[in-house]
Amino acid sequence: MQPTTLCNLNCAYCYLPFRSRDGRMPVEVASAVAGTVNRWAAEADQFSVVWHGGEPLTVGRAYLGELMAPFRGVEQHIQTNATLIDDAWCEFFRRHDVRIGLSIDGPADHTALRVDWAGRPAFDRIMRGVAALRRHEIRFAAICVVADPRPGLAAELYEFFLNLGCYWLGINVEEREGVNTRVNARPAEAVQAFWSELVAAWLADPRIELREVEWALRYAGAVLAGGADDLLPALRDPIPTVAHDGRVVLFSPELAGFTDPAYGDFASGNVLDRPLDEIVAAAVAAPTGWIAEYLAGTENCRASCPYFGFCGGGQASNRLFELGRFDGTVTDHCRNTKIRLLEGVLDHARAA
Amino acid sequence: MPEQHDVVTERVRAAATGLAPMVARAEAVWRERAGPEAVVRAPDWEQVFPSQFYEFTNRR
Repeated sequence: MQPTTLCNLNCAYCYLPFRSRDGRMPVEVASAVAGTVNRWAAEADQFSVVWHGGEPLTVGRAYLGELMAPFRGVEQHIQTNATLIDDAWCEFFRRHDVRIGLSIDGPADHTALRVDWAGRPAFDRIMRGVAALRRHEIRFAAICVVADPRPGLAAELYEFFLNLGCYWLGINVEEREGVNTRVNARPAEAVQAFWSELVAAWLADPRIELREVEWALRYAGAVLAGGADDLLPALRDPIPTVAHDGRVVLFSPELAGFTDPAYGDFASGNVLDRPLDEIVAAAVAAPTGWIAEYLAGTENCRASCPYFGFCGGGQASNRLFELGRFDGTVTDHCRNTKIRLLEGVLDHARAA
Repeated sequence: MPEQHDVVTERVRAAATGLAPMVARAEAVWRERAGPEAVVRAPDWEQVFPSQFYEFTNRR
């Protein structure tokens, strides 16, 4: 759910094109989504609704509360840059039982690409938000964008996040995506050494749930046990993303809000015109346009890439923004975040 | 079309000596997190790669 396109930061690597404008989600959109989601949630053990943006907190507590109000039986998540979090927001999170994920790239010198619209570093404001969360004993996850993965960096970052107090950490090697055209081709040896060092750091102190590393170890364990073929899901979750105006983008949240001369707006429908479950069901039953091309691309990955069993196929947005189409296969994102990750784990194993 | 991942799985198996204790360590962590009644609480694929710009986890 995208409550607004607006962000109070202007990070150098951000991919979103309209983050200086407040394209705000009407409550009618949230209510329409809840009409489907509340039924889905009633049938599931757990069901997550994630509010991301833009920066969700820029809409204010009262309005975000209005957007959340129609939902029943769901686990609410907010992905935030943390700069606006204060005691009042923490009370809001408690009252609405919200799970928090925040974005920070490590110590101040590594978070230097996270700046406001005046170019001022956001690090101190992020840390004030973290301090508020800790004061209120609200646990939080963290996403860390790594612009320059290299030997020596991973251990420093992991130590930082251990001290930060997050319970979960995802590492995103910077991607060339959307309006971010910064090159993301990296030296393979440096990226691999980064992941190898991160594996070592986690094994030495595994207090944090570390997304990529733990997946790599789960995959390795499954291969050694002879069960790797059961790891990938038989059916792919379309993870519907609802943009601020009600348009629904499937499979790739990163594409919400973009348009392309060849592919249009990537939307499968609008919840103001048609119920969300019907939009999803129709798109999945008879894929057309970019979705059909993306699903064909996934089969191309399966047929051609030896890492498919580990990765499950290249992501849609990376294919588009790197290759210009959805049925291509390996991208720099694949190399940085998947192939070098697994190879880094194997390097560590061989050196053990 | 045939899948190509046997090349990688063979290389993983070739590193088994070093990998096995790493995997055992990870599985011990997952058992500890999950509590005595659950077998494992490792991430699923859908919580890792489909979208990387936000946190969401249904692991509890």
